[in-house]
Amino acid sequence: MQCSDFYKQIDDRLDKELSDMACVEMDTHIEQCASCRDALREEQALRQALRDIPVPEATPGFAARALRRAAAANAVAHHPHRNRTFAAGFAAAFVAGIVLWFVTGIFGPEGEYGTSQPQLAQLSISLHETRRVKLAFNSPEDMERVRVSLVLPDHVELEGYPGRKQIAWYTDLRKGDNVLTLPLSALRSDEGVFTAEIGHGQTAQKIQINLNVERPGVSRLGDMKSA
Amino acid sequence: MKNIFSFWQGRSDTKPGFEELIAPHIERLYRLAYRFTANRHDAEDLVQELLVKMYPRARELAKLEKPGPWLAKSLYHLFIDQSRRASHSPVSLIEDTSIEIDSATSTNAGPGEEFAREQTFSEIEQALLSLNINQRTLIAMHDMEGYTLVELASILDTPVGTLKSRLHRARASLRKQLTEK
Repeated sequence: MQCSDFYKQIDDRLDKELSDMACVEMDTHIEQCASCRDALREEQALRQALRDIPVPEATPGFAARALRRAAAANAVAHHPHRNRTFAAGFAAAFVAGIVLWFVTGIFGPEGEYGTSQPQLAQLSISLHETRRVKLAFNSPEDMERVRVSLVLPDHVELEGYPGRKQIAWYTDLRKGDNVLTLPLSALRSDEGVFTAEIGHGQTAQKIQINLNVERPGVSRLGDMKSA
Repeated sequence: MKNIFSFWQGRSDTKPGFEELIAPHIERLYRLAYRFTANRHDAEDLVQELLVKMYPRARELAKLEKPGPWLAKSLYHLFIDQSRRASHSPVSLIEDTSIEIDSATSTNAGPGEEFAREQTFSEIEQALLSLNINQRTLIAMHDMEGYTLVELASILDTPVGTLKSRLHRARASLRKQLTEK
């Protein structure tokens, strides 16, 4: 067996796709070829390392929470307002978006479901923690130049935008889910309202969250409950 | 998993059995999602979105003898769609691509060996992130999560021979990345 043939068969051998006969030929070859022996060992070590790379456990209660959210989000998705005209559809989409967002947002660690259409939610963050908050907008169709604006309370900032309390930009929405992830960092213990507004033409919808930053070790009962 | 089932007991829902059907697969789906995203939050979000999409398809799911590969296929396509959308989206999402190492993972190795082992893992994960998305997902599914070539042929709608070639090229790219570091 030539070294080039050996190299070509390493993958098949480690994938257990090689015949016994071919394996014996490879074994015979590496008895007298240190280079190929090393190559096989290195590949085996890499495969083992790939299998061993740990996967962190999901957050506690994730499975139960995810199942409940799936049910709740589908309840929202069947909202009768979805088939209206553009303007109404747009407003309904925002409502759906808000609800979906709140559906996403109102689950606490135990996944308790609060209400179907809340307008204000409570979110508790530990001091110096960064919490990724998601705003999901379900749009009935593609929309251009939708204005998104955020107003942050003094004790919280958007990661990557230090000191910015008002951030606004135009964007396009695609049909379906448009998810905006906002990493909110808690700067000091306090309470205040975070506002996200999304608008198109004369239509706008506002989402407000009462952000409570707690000191480490303080109980987070009531985390993400609807108001 | 008992708490998942008990939450829905006695509930007359339009989608009976969804939780019972999908709950046994959530952990493996989360693992696969983590391999794709290299981030716990994104992995959870990906699985969450999959569940939202699967919920109306409970009856379809119930008819499957082995829903695992079908769910993995759906997760894979969802991830690819999300990645493509993210790369073209005018909304600039702030991504957290930091690699999470499970500190709870223990081995019998000493502190020095443990450090070297974690360093190796970190280097491999960084090298994986530099591969293109098709190569990364292929290695994630086959070499990391143990999906067989036959399962992958079904998941990716690709002949086994083609998958072998792609895997070979993906591993070569990974080795090249590791060598260059």
